Amino acid sequence: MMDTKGGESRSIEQSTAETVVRGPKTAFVESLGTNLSLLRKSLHTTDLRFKTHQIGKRSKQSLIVAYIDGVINPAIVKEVNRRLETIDIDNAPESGFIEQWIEDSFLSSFPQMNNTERPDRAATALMQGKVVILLDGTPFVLIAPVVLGDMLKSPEDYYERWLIGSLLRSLRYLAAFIALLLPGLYVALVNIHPGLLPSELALSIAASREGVPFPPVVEAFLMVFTMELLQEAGPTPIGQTIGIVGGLVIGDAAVSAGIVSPIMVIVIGLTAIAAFANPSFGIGITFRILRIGFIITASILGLFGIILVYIMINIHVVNLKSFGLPYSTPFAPTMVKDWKDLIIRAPMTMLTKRPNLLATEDSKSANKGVKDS
Amino acid sequence: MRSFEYGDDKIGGIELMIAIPSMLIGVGVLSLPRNISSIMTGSDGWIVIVLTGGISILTVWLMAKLAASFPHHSFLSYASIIVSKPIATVLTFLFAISFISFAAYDMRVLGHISQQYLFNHTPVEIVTVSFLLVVVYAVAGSRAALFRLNIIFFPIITIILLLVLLINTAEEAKTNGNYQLILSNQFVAPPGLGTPSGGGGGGEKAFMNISASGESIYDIAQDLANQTSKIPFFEHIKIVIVSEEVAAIPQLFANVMDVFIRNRDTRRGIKVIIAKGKAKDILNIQPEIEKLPSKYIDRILDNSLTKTSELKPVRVGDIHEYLLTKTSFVLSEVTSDETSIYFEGGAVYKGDADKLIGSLNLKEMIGFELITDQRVQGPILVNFNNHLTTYSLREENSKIKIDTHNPEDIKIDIQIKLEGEIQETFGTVLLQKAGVIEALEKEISNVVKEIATQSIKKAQQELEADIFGFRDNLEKFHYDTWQEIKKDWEQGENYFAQSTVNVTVKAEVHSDGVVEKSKK
Repeated sequence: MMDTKGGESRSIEQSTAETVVRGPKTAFVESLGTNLSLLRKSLHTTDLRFKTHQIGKRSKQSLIVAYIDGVINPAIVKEVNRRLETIDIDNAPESGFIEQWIEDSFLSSFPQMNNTERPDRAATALMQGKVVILLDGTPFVLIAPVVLGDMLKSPEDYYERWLIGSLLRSLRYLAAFIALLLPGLYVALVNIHPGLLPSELALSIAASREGVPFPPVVEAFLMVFTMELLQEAGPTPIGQTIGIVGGLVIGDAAVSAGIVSPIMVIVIGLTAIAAFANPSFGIGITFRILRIGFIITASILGLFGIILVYIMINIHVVNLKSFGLPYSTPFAPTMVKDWKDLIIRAPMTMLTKRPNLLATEDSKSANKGVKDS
Repeated sequence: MRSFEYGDDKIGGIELMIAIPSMLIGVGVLSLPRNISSIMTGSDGWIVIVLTGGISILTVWLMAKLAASFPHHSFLSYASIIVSKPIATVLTFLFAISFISFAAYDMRVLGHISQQYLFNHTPVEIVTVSFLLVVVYAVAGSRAALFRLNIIFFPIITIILLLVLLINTAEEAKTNGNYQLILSNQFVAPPGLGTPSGGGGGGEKAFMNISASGESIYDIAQDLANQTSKIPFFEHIKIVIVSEEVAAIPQLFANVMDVFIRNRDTRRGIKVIIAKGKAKDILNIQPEIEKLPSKYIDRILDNSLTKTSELKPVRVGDIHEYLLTKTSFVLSEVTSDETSIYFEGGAVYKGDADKLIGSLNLKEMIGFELITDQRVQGPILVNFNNHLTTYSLREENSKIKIDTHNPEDIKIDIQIKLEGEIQETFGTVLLQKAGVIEALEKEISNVVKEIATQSIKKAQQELEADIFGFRDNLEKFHYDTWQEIKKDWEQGENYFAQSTVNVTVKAEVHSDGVVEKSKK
């Protein structure tokens, strides 16, 4: 028998997955003790509670549910703990194992929990009335419950002044729609409804598509497929080389070879950029999956198909829940009070209430800003 | 301990408030204006909407009140309390039938509309069944989620509703005829357009003109399709050029236009002009800047707003209305040489005679436009103190007042208000001098009055066609008199030609340029 307590661990470094221009630079590490101290450092309140679970039949890992007593709705803590107790696996190398075990719907492509490696983000979530789940052995902690709006929020929205924050936020909403719809819309308009394009645009698209042997939908799939491949091959040691080769292949060679039209390259390029504009990696993947659905139906039923799929996604989102919280709040059920921190981010002095949708025990998070006398 | 407030089985006030209008709006709003206008005469449709709307509001209010007084009860359970259980079951059954037929109707209309406007060749079944599947998916979820869905789509529905209400529909006209027509189509050949990177298409022509002849336009269009590898695509038709000859044959112009009005692919924004001579020649010009003659003509027509004597483009939609009401109207008339087109004036189409009956020259066109309030802009030349002065029109406004006390002698009063500035002066006119501007304004008024009076004279005496839309004014403001004289307005008694038209013009000079004088 050997004592492995203590042991070697990585020192605290900068976050690699969630870099910000302005904001704390520290990131969680693999050691649970260090992570707890990082959280403690920014939250000196005695109400910060840690509930320990033991996860892994054989690995016996520690898992900690952190929350702030007196803020969080106790029903959420109860539900999280209940779900955590059902976990029965050998070991959990990453918090993703936990996430998949306790999420509401494994059929959904939407992430029902957020993950972060930034202590400031975790602290903000705790103060809003959410739980943070820390697992020994991974720097990624889970935040629950979340709604769709949370996926499009970035910590920087709050660190920069409200006008900048609001603009960035609304830009991200626009990006979400582009990432979802643009290739589908292009295919529908060019393939099925060329009459809906303005004549000038229709002519220039027709001119650029002259000589391309494939219908737009095949073209779109070719490009989406290449793009996905590139993204998959990107984070390797020779990622940069791949990036250059890929960029050349998609950007120029494919066009001059007459396989795809230049406009298609613009469409796919814009879509890829828009998908990465979202701070949450998980929702980016969701959009990438749903986008394919849009392209397929657009090629068969045109704009009508796009509308159908859009309605279906909406049906799914209004049915989805994250720990009992409807995923579409505060849009529906409508909670107008929460709208000031949704698509726009109201000035700090106006954000004096915790999110209404979390039904916190203490709804007040700040006093109204006092003017200089 | 407070639990989540949004219990999943309860439906709140906001949810209901949004769900009911969304359901009522449904798909009926697309056909509502048309249905009402086909039953009602004149502009009384709003009465129907207000009345039925009031009745609906009352019933919904009653239903909501009733439901609200039995909280946590389903319809069946509270109906059983009020009227015994068997009757409640029957009522519920009837409701179910009503909602099923409601859904069926909506589905059917949806399929019909998408087939009409989006999918000409797709069977209705595909569209409706795919939509039905989505509806089933929605219903399969929780009931609260259904209401959430309503809330999410409510803003979208409202916006579309407002857009639809701005569009009105009208009934279609019936026509007949057999003439040998020649139809020329200008097809765009994309390689000739060139891409910005490809250095502009070299020497290739960006278009090809193909002609065929036959009796029906649509039939000829199909013939044309057989002549080329390209499929004619009606949705991007920009202009229709009709030759003078065709328009001069009674009924034929209306028959030609019919296909453009009726076809579901053609837009109501297609511009219509008349060609002096053969329409085909105009498509053969080689404009110097644009690659496509049709695009060149289209652009010129769009720009015409900033030039006097060029008519603002008349569109297929306008013509549809004119033909329906048998109103006389004016179309731009053009000729062409190798590289450009020229405006010759206006071709006058008489509503009663159903043909082209004459034309206006450029000067008469200015008068026509000023009277019909077409927001004319551009230069008007005035001779002031024996020197030419150019008055540039910025704003133009005309008002027509008709006095119908004596139907035998209808008095028409036209007030034209002009605002503009002095662009150039020949000779030495010192505009700063007291009284000069006033004198100039008076002179401009006189010139414009002259122009307008001449146009009216031509219309009254030579053409005997009410191109100024006085009949519209009569119908709106003097309905009773109009009903009496309608038949004899442009023919028979010819009240139009006998009416006295009085033109008053008030011109204002707002600016005389940035210098006092430019020469000694």
